[in-house]
Amino acid sequence: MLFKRKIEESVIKIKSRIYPFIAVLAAGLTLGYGLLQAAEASYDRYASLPRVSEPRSSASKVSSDFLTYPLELLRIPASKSLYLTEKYHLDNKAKWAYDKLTENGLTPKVGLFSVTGGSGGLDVDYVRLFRRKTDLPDLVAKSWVEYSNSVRFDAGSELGWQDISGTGVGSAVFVDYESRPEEHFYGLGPETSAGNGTSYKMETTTAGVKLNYDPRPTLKGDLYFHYKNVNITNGEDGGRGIIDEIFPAGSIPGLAGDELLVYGGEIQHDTRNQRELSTSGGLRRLGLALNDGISGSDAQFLKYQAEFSQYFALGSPRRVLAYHAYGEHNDELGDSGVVPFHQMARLGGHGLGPWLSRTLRGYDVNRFSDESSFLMNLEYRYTVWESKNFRMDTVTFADLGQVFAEFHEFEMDNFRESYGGGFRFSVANHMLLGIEVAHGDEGTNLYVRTSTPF
Amino acid sequence: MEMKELIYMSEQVRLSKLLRLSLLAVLLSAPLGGGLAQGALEIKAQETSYYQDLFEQAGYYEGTSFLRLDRLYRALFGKAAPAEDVNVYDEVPDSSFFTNRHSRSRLTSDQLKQGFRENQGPQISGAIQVVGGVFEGLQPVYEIKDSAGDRYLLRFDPSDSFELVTGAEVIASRFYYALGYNVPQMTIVSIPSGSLAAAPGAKVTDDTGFAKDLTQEKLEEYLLFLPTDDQGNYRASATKIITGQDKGSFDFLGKRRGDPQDAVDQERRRSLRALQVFSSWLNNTDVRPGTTEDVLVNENGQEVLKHYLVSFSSALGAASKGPKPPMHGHESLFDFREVAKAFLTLGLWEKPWQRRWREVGEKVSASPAVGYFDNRYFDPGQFKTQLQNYAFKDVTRADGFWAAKIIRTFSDEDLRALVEAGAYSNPADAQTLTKILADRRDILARHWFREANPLDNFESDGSVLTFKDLAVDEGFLPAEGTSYTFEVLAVENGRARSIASLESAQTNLRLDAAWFTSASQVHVLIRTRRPGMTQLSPVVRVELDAKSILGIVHEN
Repeated sequence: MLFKRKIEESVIKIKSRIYPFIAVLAAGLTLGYGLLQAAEASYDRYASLPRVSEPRSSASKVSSDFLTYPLELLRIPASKSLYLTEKYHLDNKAKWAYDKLTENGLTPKVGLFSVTGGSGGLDVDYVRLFRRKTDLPDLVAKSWVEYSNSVRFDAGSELGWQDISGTGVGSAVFVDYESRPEEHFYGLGPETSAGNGTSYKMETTTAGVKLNYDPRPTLKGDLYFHYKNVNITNGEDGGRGIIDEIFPAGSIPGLAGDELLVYGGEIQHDTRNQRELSTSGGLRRLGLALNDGISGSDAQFLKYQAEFSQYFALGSPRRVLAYHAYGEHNDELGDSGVVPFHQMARLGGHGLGPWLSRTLRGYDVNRFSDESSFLMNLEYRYTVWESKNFRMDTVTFADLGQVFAEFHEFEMDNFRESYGGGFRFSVANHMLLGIEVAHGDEGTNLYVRTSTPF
Repeated sequence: MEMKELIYMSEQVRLSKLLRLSLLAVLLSAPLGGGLAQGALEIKAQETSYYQDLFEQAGYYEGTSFLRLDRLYRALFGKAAPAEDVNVYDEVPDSSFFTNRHSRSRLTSDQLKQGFRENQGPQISGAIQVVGGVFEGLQPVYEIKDSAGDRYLLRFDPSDSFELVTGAEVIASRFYYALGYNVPQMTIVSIPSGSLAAAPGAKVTDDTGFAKDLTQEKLEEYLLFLPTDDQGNYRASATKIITGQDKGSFDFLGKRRGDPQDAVDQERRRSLRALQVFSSWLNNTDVRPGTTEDVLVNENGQEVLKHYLVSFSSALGAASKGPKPPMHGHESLFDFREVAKAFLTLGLWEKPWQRRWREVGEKVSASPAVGYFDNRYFDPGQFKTQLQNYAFKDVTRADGFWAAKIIRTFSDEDLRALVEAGAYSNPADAQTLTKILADRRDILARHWFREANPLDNFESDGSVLTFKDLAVDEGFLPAEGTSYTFEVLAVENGRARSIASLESAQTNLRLDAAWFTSASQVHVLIRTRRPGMTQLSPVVRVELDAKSILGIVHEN
């Protein structure tokens, strides 16, 4: 009996534990099923029952976009051209053609030096052209021709040897003809008037020999001897004063042109990490040349040149402080020696390139000339955009420079300064296009360039 | 009556009118539509190229954005452009652009891993003929024909990033398919060296840009640059060429002329806008017209223009030529806003991608198969594809929420299955990618659930309205302290009047039968109050009658 009761008690106990569980389970299942049914029965959330919101009518779209319709006239042909360029691989074909020309010794060159001014040229490497590079790897035989609209025409040839048997020694003879149809001239000294702008044409024929020694990639030295014939005539630009009308004969040395023998040398130490848009290292260059006039020329002077640039990455190669300084002094020799104006130091404009004038932005090219010059440029360059090898830098700069005849005439008050900024677009650290605006005492200038000033 | 109510009422009137007009239009156009559907579609091919995309997306449309008055108005007054391809329940119904797949009905691990599948991929047992291709650079694209006569495009990995591009491409194709997009069949194939043969008459375009005869000798020369596995096999992603008439690409803008199903401007399609969110998940930075394809196919006896996504080589840690460049995902190609920030701060401001890149020592330290992919400094709201378009720029909170809740339907197990499709030789690479994608999924969901009012799964039996707060359910935000404000509006003939205001911590609302006696519809406006936040969330409007839910709208 006791056993039976115990069993009954156990059964009741088990039932008392199981029944609530079963009840909860049943309730849960019922609720779950109910919810499931509700979920299935209530609505099909993916049903194709479009909500008619506020579809734009064609009229509203047309009125909204009407300002862009004129631009469609540009978009459609541009898009089509780009599509066809890619479809027919015209970009690759152009690159292939360029590479093929270069491989065969013909290197085309193009560039921009102003909003409307472009330059083009061709280098001819005869060793490659005649497929002798393998036989004669050290031989240099080349010609070049370059034309910069209204600024410069240059053609020349060179024959010589480079890095002879890996010694770093090279030698060459060369001949060059250069014509500058519109060189600007404002007179000599720091106080010249911007209103006295004149132009002249300068043709220079040079023949010479040079010897170079490059013991290390960062160090090189040159020695050279040139014969140089400089011919000065009236400039082609009718809008400017003719030089010999503004400046009487005899007031400016060298107005009749000169024949010069030049003996010189140069040492260069270049630790820049890249030739353009450097982010570290620097360039130091010292030059000395004796210029001796012949065939009636009374030119006789020593030209000293010193150049220094340094690049500092400010915590990142995307922020670079670039500093550049340049000094030049032309020292007459003897009592009768003079420095022709066309061989003097020049400041103004956006650096070399097709011009001979050093960087003083905000002023005209060749704005200041004299026997000596001193120049400082400071640039802060920082990257604002980059993608793969492409990059756009912003540059802000300040230029400071003056010309003078003798050192004792150097005065702090004679410095001319300018400042400005711009953008430089480059690929693989090669400048493609730069747009800069500079403001100086004499106004504001816009520069469009394919090279950096230093 | 408050201004808000007036606006609301006028909107209802307008909607009602539009609804009637639309119904009339549908009835009138039904016979015409039927005729069109049965006839051949006259759709002109719409080709594009990378250069064209670059010019149009990064230059033209970006530059003329503020000349478009509707965009200008929205930019000035902070207005959103609501998506127009949504249904009354704020979902995107199936279309030729998008099909609800994993979100509607969970795909199995096998289905996820398999993705879109027509066959098993190229038959490599027989000879594989190279019939054409583009052999530019070191990463050629081969067009092949296998022994079954099927055609595929083969893409390979960069020599120093084995499995990177092929893995990313195939995995991304699985994701996009499961999410709902049309993709071609993509498979990883291992091709024994020596089994690729130049087909007679095959021509290829090489670096010179000229089409040339492909000889066996030339082919073998190209093959020398391709990486191989330990057994000397080439690994490739094989994209089966889509069957149908190639009609070019779609351009995320306007409607495709001649396609009656493309009735909504593409920049107003939530399904396309959401690609911005999905691509941020997959780190796919190359989504543009050139990576899409429109194909005219015959489905159930009708011609349909189906819209495909076809290229994913810039997904995950890959770019088409190697590891993803550090700025990708953070900046679009010409990101004027980022440029302006850098300009104005004189370059002293370090961009997030620059910091991220600097912190890893400016080199990719992950496995070559993973590339440059992690979640450091990942900001879902700031993710950018290389070329932006209006659809991506117009993503609203509602669009983002819709995309995020789809993303949340993928469990960790699902992600593992999807990543398995990449067939990585080192299991650690698959684990790494799965972990990154899972974390990124959570970051994305957290972001969009915070931006929008993340209420979903609304149900009503006429007496109680229930819903789920996804942010709470997912554990992103605490249930404690969260409450919901309900504003009940009676709507009759387009006029709305407030009849009740309630606040509750419960995710349900008891519906008073009296509310339905005075109006045919009741609209419940629900806002969420989060602990520690003073501002209420955006509103969700639930439209009800006495029996069921008629519509749901999340605020844009």
